[in-house]
Amino acid sequence: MIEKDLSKYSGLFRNYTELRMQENTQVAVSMVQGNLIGNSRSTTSGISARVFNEGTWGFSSSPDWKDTDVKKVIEAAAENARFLSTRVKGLAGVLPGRPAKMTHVFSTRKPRYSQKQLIEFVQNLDNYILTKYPELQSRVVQISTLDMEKRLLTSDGTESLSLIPRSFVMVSLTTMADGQPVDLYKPFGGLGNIEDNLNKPEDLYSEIDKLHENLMQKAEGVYPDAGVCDCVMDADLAGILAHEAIGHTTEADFVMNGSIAAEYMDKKVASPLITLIDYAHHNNGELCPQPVYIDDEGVEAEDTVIIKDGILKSYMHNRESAAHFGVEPTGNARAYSFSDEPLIRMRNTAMVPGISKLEEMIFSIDKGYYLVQPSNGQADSTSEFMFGIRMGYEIINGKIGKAIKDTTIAGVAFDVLETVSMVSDEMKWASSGMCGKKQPMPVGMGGPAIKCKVNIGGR
Amino acid sequence: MEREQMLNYSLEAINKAGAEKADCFLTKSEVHELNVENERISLLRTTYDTSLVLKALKENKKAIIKLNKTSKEDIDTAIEELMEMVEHAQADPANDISEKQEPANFETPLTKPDMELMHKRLTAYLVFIKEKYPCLTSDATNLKFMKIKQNYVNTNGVRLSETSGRYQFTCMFVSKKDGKSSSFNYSYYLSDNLEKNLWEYAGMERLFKQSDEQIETTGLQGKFVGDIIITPECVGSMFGSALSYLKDMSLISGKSIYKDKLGEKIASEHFTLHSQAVDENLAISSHITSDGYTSENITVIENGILKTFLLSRYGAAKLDMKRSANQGSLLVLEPGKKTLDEMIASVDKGLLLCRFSGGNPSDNGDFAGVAKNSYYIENGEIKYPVSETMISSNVARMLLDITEISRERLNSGVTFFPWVKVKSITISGK
Repeated sequence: MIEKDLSKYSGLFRNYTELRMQENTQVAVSMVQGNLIGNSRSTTSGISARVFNEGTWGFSSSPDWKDTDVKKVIEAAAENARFLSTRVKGLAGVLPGRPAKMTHVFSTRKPRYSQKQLIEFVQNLDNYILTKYPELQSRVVQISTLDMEKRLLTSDGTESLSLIPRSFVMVSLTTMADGQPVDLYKPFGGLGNIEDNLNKPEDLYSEIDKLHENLMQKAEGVYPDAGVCDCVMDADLAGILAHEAIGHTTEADFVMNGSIAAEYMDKKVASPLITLIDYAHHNNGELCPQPVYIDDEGVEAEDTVIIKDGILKSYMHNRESAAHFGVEPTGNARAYSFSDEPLIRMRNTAMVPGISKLEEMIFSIDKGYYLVQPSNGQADSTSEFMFGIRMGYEIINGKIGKAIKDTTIAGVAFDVLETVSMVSDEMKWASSGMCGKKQPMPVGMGGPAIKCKVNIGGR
Repeated sequence: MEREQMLNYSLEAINKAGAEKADCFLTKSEVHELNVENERISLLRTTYDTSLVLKALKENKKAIIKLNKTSKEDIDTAIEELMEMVEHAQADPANDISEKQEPANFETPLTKPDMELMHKRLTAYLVFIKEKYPCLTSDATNLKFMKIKQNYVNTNGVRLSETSGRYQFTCMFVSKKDGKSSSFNYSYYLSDNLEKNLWEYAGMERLFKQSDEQIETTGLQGKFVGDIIITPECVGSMFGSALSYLKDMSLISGKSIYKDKLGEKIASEHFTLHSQAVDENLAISSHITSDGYTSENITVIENGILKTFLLSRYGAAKLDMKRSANQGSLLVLEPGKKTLDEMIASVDKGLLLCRFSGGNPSDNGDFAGVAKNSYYIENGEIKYPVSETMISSNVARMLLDITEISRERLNSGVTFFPWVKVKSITISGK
């Protein structure tokens, strides 16, 4: 834990100032075909200051955090703000905020695993795969963890400490079909240290068996027919749609930079079945995968209801965009590393579940696809998106058919959401990915399954 | 501790702690960055960071630890943890460090930023955009200066160092008019100077004009097989994945589609690709590999023939193959004989592919994704910008299906690419 008391530096603040001390700790153990190719630990820590002066910002950071370093960083940030404020006319005045004093630490209370135990964990899983499925072309098992610890002091009264860990085991299997490699992978884990997420390797055996079963189905898979069709997007797909295609277009900085969502406030943008929220820390009483209680500008975080019953209701804001739009900040300003400035980022973005059952949604489709797992996704200022699909199935006459090969879906998200005709009653979260926007950022995304029309790539 | 002292201390301490071999890679970085938001320069960011990567080998077992605090106490604590990690690692004879080489030091002349000039150039850029392209917004934009000092040392006596300074301009932009919006596009380049206006590098103004044109798009109907001409900005994203099949992970796992293709034809005879350590056309150089060797210029694919894999020392030892003389950065693609206009004129039906939104291809090379900021070509003429248009093919097949490469090339400072024409691509609209 970072033990330093930041309050003693408040006397050095001359303008609005944020002082953040941060440590990111990562562990990686990777085994490829039984070879331990990754065995590493990494700690990146330091201090940063950001100063607002007559509408412009100055930022500075240092990996060292002795008293003299902290003083230098605050002075350098103030000097940078002064350099710009004498040259640029900015948004003068006081930025809106919602200061708070909070501590949220999610680290394990169990004894920490040693590197030896982590390596044995990976070896155990690798041995299990090799012994049970010797015909596989390739196997990869990886453990990756990231602990983000932050202390924040702002000149308008926020004092916070947070430690948000996440940890995953990723298993990737490859087989050969018609002389070509076919692969499938899945991460297991989420919020929390590895000690809280994974008790023993044997707990993952049944998951690996399921992954192998899916891989064998995929090896026999068919190319989907290209074109627009009825689909059921399972929760992972609906989550990435919420994040990539709607979420990014409604980040206020993206709105100011030309996002089409600038035209849609208080207008109908989706089926009335769609309510989409960027949750701060809890959903329906349950902790979200990336809880944010106070953002990195010291604003107490609140849920942002982006779409309510199909109507666009809010963008996600930092202090400055909130001032620009004349609204309250939402607590979406986040920074990845001590040397990064806070940017408007999502936290836990998801659609709200409906009332349909997954089975009846599939049963309602004569010819279409049930899309289960995404690989990655990208979206655009127009809300046009593309997602890779690494696991999915045909739906024929209301029943699941053959698996499909890797493909891509694409469309204009606001148009696709207009076509949503059923929303399932389940809620699932995914959180293994990193969102990219100048800086990487761990995020949660999730939701129910949705039935919609979407353009699917074929061969 | 000073750099040399810190590195010597670290090597000695790892040895004393029981390692048989060790190496240290120290990187010190300094960044000065001007950021644009809401059509004005809003943030000046100055950051300093350190990265010290320590590797220990014992009985063919390997462990790596990375830290960014470099006091004696921090290094001692890290080495204690490192030795605990190496004790429990798995023995692998392929684990080693680079062999003895002559000491080498590389330096570029640019060592500090001209902040006044940076501010002047970025201000001029914002004025230029506002006056000449009033529909275009270019907010997610920054101009930065980066100074990076790297030192690699190991217990075989290797001593390599490199200091470099460069400017980098990155801009993202969207055009809007009458409630309609283009797709966003972006550009970036690296340079060792700011002699010209920011929009005069890397063909940037061509993209601004295109952005305005792309406010109005047409969705293609149906599906056909046609040609695509890939712009230099898009060449890296279309062919970069093929290079991943030549690297450690893909080859060691046995998944690479090129694992048995060394010396064989994997691309059209028009295609010759170099990975450069030093190239007079590029703004930066890369003199040191991450595994402790002096980089050299290599030809990866020559007239379609695969000349080398991109293996690290570890990958080469693991597979009993030759280490690559660099690791596949700073790519230069040889030009062809046709002009871009001649290439466009030769397309019956297809796309000018300006940006591709798609994920990594499958292990077998299959991919599909969206053609962004792109144009429909018919009967040798560019007709209109398209939207909601997907392309699909296979990366390996596409390399073989290259039919023409342009005479003109575009220099981003880190790549030097021409326009590339590929046949037999599946193009599908709504």
